[in-house]
Amino acid sequence: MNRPFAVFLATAFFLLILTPFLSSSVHADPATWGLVRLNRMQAQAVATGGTVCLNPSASDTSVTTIAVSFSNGNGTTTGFTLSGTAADFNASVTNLPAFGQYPGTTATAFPGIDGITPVVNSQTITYTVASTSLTAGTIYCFNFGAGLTPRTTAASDLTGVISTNGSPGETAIYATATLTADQIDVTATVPAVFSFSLSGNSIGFGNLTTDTVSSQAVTATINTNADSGWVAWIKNSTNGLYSTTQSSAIAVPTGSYGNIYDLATTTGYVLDVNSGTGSPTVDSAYNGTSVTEGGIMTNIFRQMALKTTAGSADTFVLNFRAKVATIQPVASDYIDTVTVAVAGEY
Amino acid sequence: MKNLLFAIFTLSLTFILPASAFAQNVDLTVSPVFFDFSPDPGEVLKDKVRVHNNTSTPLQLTITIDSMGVNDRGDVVPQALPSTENSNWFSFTANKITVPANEWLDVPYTISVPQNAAFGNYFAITFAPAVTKTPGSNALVQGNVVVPVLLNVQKEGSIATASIESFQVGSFVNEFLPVDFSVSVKNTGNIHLSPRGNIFIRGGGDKDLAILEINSAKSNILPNSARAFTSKWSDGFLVRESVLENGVAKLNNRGEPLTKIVINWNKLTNFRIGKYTAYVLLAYDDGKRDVPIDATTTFWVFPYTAVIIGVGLVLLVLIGGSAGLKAMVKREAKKLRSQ
Repeated sequence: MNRPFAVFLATAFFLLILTPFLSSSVHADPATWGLVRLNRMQAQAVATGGTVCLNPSASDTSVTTIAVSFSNGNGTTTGFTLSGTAADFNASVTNLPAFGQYPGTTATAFPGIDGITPVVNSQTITYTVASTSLTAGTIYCFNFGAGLTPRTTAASDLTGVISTNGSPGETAIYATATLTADQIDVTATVPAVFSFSLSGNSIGFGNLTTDTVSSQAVTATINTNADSGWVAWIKNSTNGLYSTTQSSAIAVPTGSYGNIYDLATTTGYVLDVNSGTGSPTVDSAYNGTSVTEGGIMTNIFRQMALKTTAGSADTFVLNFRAKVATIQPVASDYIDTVTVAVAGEY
Repeated sequence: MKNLLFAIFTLSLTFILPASAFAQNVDLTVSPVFFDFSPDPGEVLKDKVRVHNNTSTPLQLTITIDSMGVNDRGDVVPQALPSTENSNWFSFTANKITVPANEWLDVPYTISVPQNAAFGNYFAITFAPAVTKTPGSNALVQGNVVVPVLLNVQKEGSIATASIESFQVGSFVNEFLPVDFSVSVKNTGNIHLSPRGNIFIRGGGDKDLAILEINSAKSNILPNSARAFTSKWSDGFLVRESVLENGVAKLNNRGEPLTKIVINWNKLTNFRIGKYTAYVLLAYDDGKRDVPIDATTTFWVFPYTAVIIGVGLVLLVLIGGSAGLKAMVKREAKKLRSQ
């Protein structure tokens, strides 16, 4: 056996013998893990609180204190400054973390610590509790109040120690960091939108008669999130319901736009609008009150219906009605073009 | 031979039918709902309208520019641009577009504001679907979607003035709340305005019983037009409400909405009865300051049915009590006499 190897073996043997004595001299077991989660990590010199958790590796009895130290960083711009007011660090045990990242583990409130004001000494806070025991594998947590101020320069590897004074005592070294920015601003805009649909685009009266009012309907549906609501207009062609072959139109009732006419007692071609879902307001010019009434359309846009608030699937029904006089020329090509225009209110 | 003729007839129809297939029901979404610009003379504006085809087939649209004008009844409606007006302020990459099924399409446009532009300029970008006659129909119904464009050109000489045309209450005597208010504001200037304010309702005292919003949506009034803003006072013990069926107001045989009386027991102290004063105070920005305009009206709330029933009940109790008392007195007097 050569000499260096013998020295190595002797040293190793010596250290092996000393190990139990060395560990008992620090009176603590390394915990399975410990952590400090800060509520805010931004290096902005604004005080924050956080949560301390400790997972003992062995049963720890007669525990009366738990101490947490925070990194002093470079002593001026990095690390943490502790409030001189101990009550700022008061402990609480509400809303403890669930540790979803560790299946089957849930946090247990550190026994007897709720509401305790610690002693602040330099970079360490020490909570004194009634003597308690900690169980190996149980995650003990508590929150501390906003007494900790991350200094103005972001830094990593800011380590500290969580320790108990029990038997044997548990110790965990944790690391944290401070950041230039620890929050993400989420912004969104909901633009104003306006939707419009018609249930059909053609009206077929079939054979018009002199004694019955023919009616055909089209439903308009409007959706808008515009606060001011919407407005709808209507116009028809210059000649109205017109036969090219006969050069003749089905006359509107004798009168004028703005009045309501009852085809039960007269003849012509009119429009009646009924309010539906969302109760839009129908313009008086088209607000007939029976199934034979209606108003006159013109070849320029006229206001037909409106709503002054946002609408979800607002509807109104356009009832086109016609009844002919006995002298109306016979033809099968009576046709009109009606334009419904809608807009979100401005 | 018959089969051959039938086949030829059917084949010939296939060349005719596609024409009617272009008849499209409009189902369209646009965003934004309107534009409001304040450009300088000579400025070039660029923006876009987003159009969504809500149908499962491509939608052909024609884009036209109209003006938003005031008609003979005072309503603001889309109108053909006057021939003297330079309608080439607007330019699109194409005046006919096809929006793919169930997709959004951006429609960019440019507005070149002339140096000599007037103060208030009001346009309508109109999206019109292609519609063709279907066999047997008498009327084609074309559904157009309009996106108003408000242009207030920044130059000397703009006038922002408005006045309250009328401040009306739905009914001078109201049996129950709600009480409907309508404030009609006329824009007498040459640029659009957006007045906003409140209606303050008072009873006999100086305390405001209710403060109602007027035009919280900041709707605009175009020059030379009036706009009616409405509001309801419905904070009361007894309130009349519409009867709804699937979100739609039910109507009676005369086409009037059916209503019911709702008793708000948590608002017993808000039992409304008597004469009330409503004071409307609006303000609009004239470019230099907020200009106030105001008006006042009065109305009554008198729940006469409830009052008549109440008075009837009181009278009934009094009459009954009086009769009972008389009977008791008679009985006692008779007893005394018999003794």
